[in-house]
Amino acid sequence: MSIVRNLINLPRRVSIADIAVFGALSGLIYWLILVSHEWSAHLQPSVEIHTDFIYLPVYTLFSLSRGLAAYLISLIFTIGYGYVMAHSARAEKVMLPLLDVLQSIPVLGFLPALVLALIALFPKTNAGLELACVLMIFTGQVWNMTFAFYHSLRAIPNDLRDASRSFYLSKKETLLKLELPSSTIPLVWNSMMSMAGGWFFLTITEAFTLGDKDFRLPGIGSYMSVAIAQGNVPAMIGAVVAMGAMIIFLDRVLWKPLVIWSRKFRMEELSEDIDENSVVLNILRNSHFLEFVGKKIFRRRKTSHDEQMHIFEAKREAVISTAFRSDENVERSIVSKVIAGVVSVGVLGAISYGIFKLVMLFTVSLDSADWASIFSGTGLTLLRTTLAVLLGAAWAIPIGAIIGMNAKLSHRMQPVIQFMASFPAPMLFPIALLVLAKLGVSIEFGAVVLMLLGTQWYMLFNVIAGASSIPTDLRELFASYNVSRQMRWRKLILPALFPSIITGAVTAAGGAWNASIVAEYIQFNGKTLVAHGLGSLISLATLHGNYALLGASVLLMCLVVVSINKFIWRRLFALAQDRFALNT
Amino acid sequence: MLNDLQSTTATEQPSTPQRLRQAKTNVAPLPGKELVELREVSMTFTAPTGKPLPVLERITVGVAENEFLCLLGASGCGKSTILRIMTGLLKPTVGTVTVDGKPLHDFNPYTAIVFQSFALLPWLTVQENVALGLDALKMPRDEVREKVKRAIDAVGLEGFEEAYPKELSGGMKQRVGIARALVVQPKILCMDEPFSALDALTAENLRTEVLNLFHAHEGTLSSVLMVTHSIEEAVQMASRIIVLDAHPGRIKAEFPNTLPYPRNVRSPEYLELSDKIHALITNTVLPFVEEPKIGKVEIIPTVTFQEILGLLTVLTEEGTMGIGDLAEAYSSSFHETLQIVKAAELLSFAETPGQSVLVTPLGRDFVHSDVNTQKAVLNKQLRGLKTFQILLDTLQHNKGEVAREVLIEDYAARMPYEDPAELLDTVIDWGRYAELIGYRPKEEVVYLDIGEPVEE
Repeated sequence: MSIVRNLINLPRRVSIADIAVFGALSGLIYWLILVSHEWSAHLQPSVEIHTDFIYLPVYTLFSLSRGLAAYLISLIFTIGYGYVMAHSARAEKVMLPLLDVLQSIPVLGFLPALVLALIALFPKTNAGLELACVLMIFTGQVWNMTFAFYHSLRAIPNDLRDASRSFYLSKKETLLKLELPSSTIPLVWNSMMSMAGGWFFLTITEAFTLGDKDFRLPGIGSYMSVAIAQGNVPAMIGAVVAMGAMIIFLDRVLWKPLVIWSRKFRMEELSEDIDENSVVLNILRNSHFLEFVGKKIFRRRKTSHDEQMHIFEAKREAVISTAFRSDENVERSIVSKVIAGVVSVGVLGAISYGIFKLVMLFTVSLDSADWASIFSGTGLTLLRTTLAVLLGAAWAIPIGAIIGMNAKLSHRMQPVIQFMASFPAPMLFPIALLVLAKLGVSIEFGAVVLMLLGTQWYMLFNVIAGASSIPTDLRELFASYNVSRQMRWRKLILPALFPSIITGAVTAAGGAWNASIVAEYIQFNGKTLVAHGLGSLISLATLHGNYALLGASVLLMCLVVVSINKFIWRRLFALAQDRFALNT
Repeated sequence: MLNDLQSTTATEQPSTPQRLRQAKTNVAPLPGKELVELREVSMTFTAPTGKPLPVLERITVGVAENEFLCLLGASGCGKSTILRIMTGLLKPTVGTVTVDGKPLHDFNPYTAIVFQSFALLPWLTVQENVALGLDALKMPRDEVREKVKRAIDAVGLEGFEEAYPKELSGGMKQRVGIARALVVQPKILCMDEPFSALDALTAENLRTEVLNLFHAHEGTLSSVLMVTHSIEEAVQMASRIIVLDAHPGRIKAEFPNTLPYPRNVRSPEYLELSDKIHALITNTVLPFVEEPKIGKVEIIPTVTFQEILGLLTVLTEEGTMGIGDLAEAYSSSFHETLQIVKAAELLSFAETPGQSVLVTPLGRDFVHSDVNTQKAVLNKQLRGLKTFQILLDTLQHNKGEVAREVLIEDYAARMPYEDPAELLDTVIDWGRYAELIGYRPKEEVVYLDIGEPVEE
């Protein structure tokens, strides 16, 4: 027996962990086959979505695969974009503000253009439609990941950079040994948030109408939208349960193991090490099979010692000769400058042509009534988002402060709130609408409640974090002077929470603007509910294929969101850091 | 010295000072073959305000074979910049760097660096950290293993190969740093304040070990270049000491140190050399008598008034003290202590005859008087300083209130080498204590305190 084993060089021990890994692998292969069938299927713009529960697991699986594919693209984009931005001061000047704008605008408005382009690219198969959906999820995930990666690259201590240079690490090795490890922790945390953000528009991206065309992909989002349209309450509840199960599954199988694994990349040791562990991570760590595969993949190419020495000597020679090589790059830099000049002129030209055409389109196809409704809609949506933020703050600040200042309670509540925050609010809209209808609230105000459903968690999250970091000695000081409750809130809790409240409000307001597109226009139980606003204008323009109206509305929304960020939130942020930061 | 100080602002007569730094800047011929040489190197950075900030001015210095060269100077003298230029991490604005006579354009293959902050990768084990440079050069695995083992043995880290840096103490971490540098077989070990992040005992221990490595010529090691601000460290370890002047960094003096190793810290020769360097440094940094006063503003050391008060209290109790002893009593660096002493002297609360510090009668009275008297005395002393007169003038011409921003610009224009914001913060700190001026942080406004007449 042992001879046979040696011959095929298999790992000698087989543990339960191995069996688990094998099981997971075979399951995965079946999934992959299923998903690839779906991608290569003939293009069927409006595939029929069944509301039987039996279809739900497969639909959930399809949606999950889209989310993961989008996440993979987000990760690649993040590393590429963040790396260039952190390493080239010139590129940074353009890329950083661009990223800032991209992350604060409602990308959903660009969906129609994207779908049409991708379908034109893949006219025969479902790939175009699938790709459009994946890319939309991607736009909901990527921005904060890119910011986090960029910031952690910039935060690498100078001495570590100098050390990697002085010990001859190439760019690739610096990335692998220094830059990626030092950004792993922020990347993992932001990935969790991103994955949650990506699901937000699932009900639309998997099933949406553009002019007279109806595009649908089998998935949990389209299942929900069909259920909503039919007013099928059991199916709605089924979709909510399936979504919840998917979020919990991802948390257990992906995020928790990743969070625990990433602890080894901490720069400093923390005093208290939270004793947590993950079953999945333990299985992966204990599997002999994975260890064996890992060794096979990552071992060095077999070369003789002499060959290796030769490579080493050549490398050392190269290092020495670069050290004494004089600069002869002057000529090349002129050539590259010329190329850069030509490229930037081309890009500028294309942009100005686009702007010109857009203005032409607006002047030709939009009349004064259109503009009036765009501007009044902007005002109304601004009012709604503000109300949503205020309402959210009104309950989240007191509750969050109480939870945050109680260590035991906040530890117990944290997974619950995290789950609530990851759950895509639009999937809860039908249930909220049923309640609102019972109460006789019109959609004009009801839309605020729908926005609130998605955005209140940001506020709660931040307030809890802020409250838990109020120093105990300050709280004890107030307790020891027998200060009244009102005074305690005014003099200690609210000022201490101010930075967290601002952070929460910024995120909530951004989310509310995005949510307006789904909250102000809803097809529910055979009826269409429309609240006048910029969000419903975008939805309606998409539905009717009115591209001029769509373009103008989306542009205006971008403009409003970016200026609010610039002129209001930035200043409040500065104030928060200046006056109310607790670390003096 | 006391009288001289009080009259600084009244009499702005040109004087002809005999300053030490002008006496001799020539560098003596170097022993042995030159390995690396900086010739007429100047370095200018750009300050955050966009202004050019000269850091090094016409530095010519080399590291020869078999020498232990120490660059000694206070912070801001550019000593770490010199190290970074020698290793090729930085390119000088002007001047040439040659290695074995050949001009250097990239990282210097003769050198390896040991960092003050250790600069270890926390996710790699000791072994992997040490192997970093060899792995990067694609050295064969078995070869790497052998070399790394040797280096780890040389610095006494056997048994810790599989440990992660966060499990090690500071001293152990720096041992890893040294092993990582030795393993790439440098001719010159470049150490940037390698012991300043360590406690005194650990540092002492490690100093001896570095000297042993140097004497044993571990691997291909020929010379050591060490940057430090500790005179003791330099005298104990170096075979040649170069003292640097700050703002911008210039070579001030050079001392060969031929005392036999291991050095006896109580031997008369050792003490003489150490005293000579002490005297030189204290004279450069306490040059108030010799400083020309023509239209010049005195330099205000950026220390808090509480620190000055602390110094005066210690001096009142202990009598005359050396700066080194003071630094030890304060458990702070020589440089920081010097700043406090300078500040006390500027206010005529202390004197510095030779290398010792003692409290003046004014200072002694100050310590013993009540808060209100203290405020009155300090008020008078501060009014004697040009820096404060500028501030008071500006305030009086602006109805007693001026924005912080304006004052910072005001100072920046007059004192290019100072950090104007830091200077203003110091001025506000002292002025508030004396109830001369006040500051409203919400509006960022400096105002005249009550009792100060305002011109309408």
